[in-house]
Amino acid sequence: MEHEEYSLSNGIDENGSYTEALPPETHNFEFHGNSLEYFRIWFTNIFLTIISLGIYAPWAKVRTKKYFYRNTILNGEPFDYTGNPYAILKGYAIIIAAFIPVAIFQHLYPEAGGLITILVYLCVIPYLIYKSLKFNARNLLYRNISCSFKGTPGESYKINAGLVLLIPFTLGLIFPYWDFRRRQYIFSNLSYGNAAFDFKGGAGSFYKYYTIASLIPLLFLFLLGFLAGICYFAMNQADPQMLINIFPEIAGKDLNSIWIAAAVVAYIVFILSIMAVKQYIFVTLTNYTMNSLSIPSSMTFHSDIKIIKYLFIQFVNFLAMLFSVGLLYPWAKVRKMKYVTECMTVTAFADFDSFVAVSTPDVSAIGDAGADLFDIDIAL
Amino acid sequence: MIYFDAVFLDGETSTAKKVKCELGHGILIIRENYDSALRRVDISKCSIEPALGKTRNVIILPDGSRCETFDDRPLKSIRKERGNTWDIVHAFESLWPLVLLGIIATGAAIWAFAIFGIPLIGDIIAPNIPVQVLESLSEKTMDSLDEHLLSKTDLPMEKQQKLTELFEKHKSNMDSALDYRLVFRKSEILGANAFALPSGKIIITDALARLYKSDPEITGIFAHEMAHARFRHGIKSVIQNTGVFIVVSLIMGDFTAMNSSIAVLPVILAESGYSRKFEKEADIFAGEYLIKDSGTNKPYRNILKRLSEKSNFPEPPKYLSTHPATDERIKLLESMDAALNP
Repeated sequence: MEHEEYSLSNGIDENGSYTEALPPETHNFEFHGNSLEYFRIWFTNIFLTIISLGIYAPWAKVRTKKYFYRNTILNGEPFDYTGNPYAILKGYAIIIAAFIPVAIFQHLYPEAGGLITILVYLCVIPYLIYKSLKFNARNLLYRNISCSFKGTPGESYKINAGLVLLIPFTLGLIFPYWDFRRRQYIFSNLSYGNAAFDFKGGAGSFYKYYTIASLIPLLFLFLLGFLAGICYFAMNQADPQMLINIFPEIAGKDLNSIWIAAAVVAYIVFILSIMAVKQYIFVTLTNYTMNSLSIPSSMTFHSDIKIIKYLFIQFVNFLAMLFSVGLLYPWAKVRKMKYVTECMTVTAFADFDSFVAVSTPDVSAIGDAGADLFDIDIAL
Repeated sequence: MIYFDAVFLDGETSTAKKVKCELGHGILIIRENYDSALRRVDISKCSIEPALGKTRNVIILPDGSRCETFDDRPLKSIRKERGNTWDIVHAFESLWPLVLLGIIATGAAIWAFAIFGIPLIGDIIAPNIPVQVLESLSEKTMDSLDEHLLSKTDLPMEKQQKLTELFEKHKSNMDSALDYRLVFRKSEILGANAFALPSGKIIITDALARLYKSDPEITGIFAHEMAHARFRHGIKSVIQNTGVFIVVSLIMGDFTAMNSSIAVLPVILAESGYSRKFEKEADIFAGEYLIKDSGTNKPYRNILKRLSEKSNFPEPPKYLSTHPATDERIKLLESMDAALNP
């Protein structure tokens, strides 16, 4: 995870005198939000969304994003999200309207429908991803300067249709490469004001992390096998004495409830193993992506999320939400965001004041809305 | 006149200037130092961001520059003048008792909608679905069942005929909107079982056909299954489950994928609840039909008991089950009998 060392050579300014480059300063991202505050915002969002039969949803989304962006601080200044809820509402309306004929068609002709649906998605999703990236970049504000995204729809099609099509044909082997190209598309086309980002990542590291991740379920397999054994014994009521010898407590208890208890625990373990893989990928690839990110000659980014700590945070979050029927979601989300955000740092070789805005036209929200409704994960 | 400190971001460079501001007589003046003014604007031409937790207040000037301050005083007076609706939202978010009340109210509303609202939607839509749609849906389901779960019947022809005659006799007492037919299939997985497709086609497995000991027993089963078709339980089930899916999606919209596994539980509870309600309706109809036909529904109770004893599967816990517990069903039928035969 090396990044280029920027040499602190002196430059010459327009008067011909030597200028000294700044000594690099490292700044931590800070997160100032707290779960009590966010709980009230989150709950109000749900309440208003329900009584407005969903119309309030774009405003809820904007409010949530604003809360997290505005509470993220870098070098004393917060970020902001400038998405327009009306634009997002319009986007939702267009996507839903376009989706209804597809859904009806799918229902009437399920055999042909499946293929047609895949085709429609392959033709539409890459464009929505492109639009969504443009929209979200345009609405990311720091010190009143917005970002911009200069990627092309064509490249999105190559990656999100072309490479995606290859995934089943390569039995999934091309997946890490697709993830790499996807992130490269996002970050190498991003600019903050007049300063373009540079993404120096390589596909090799993605393969490394995905390979390790795929070995994680083996750890859980042992546990699952053990539980499956208990299920088998209980279900077939085969020689309960053997089981009672191992677990004397269950003698006399209803074997039915043991079967059900073991099945429930097995289900939870199964879910946890999938989650562990997902969290591992998130941690390693977020770290790698940020560490490969820079603004040449002025900023380098770093992320150092610790896997064990993050897994622990997510595990406690999962238990909390399970036992609170989802009510502790705001607490869980703030906890996670705070940790992930504060693991990120920026090393600045240039003044934070030195960026200049570039006039960027407003972007329609249709891509962002589409990404939401189709649950496409555009983020890091 | 309100004097306050702020940070000024001009939107052209990323510099954050510490400034001193004055707000009075509808004019906002922003100064970097005491002699010159960076900006002098009519406050009515500025837009104010809604208050959000403890984040900085944001005043956006007409040229896109921003004046941000932690000082609430200037914003209080501006927002009061404008009567910003967002402040109602912000107030709601800030008052704990309101939020707690809101949680209870929302919980009650969702529960009431799930128990009454969604079934009502099912009751309204289901009768309006044309029979042809029910037929085509049932045919598709039948094809899928024949492919995966069912095989050709092994029942001898006379037994099939006997059952079909009995079925036809009772079918004439049902409404004529649906074309009730009896078909025979074999299935190891399903064991002794019967089910109804929305079109009125009733499927009975060989194991069940061999299990009954008297005509009234199997008549009870026929009546129960025909009731499912007659009362459109199949199609209502589809409508109601879709309703649950939409409501859950609306609520879960703000959630990440990790929580979707937790969302499954309320969905299963809701769907099982609807299913048990339909089973109860069908049982009541079958019980009443048997009482009208032969004076008692005891034969139906007997076969239900026999079915549960022979079952391949242990009974799932009460609230996850698609059927009420067998004991419960028998008790209900008994009480119907007792009411008419004291």
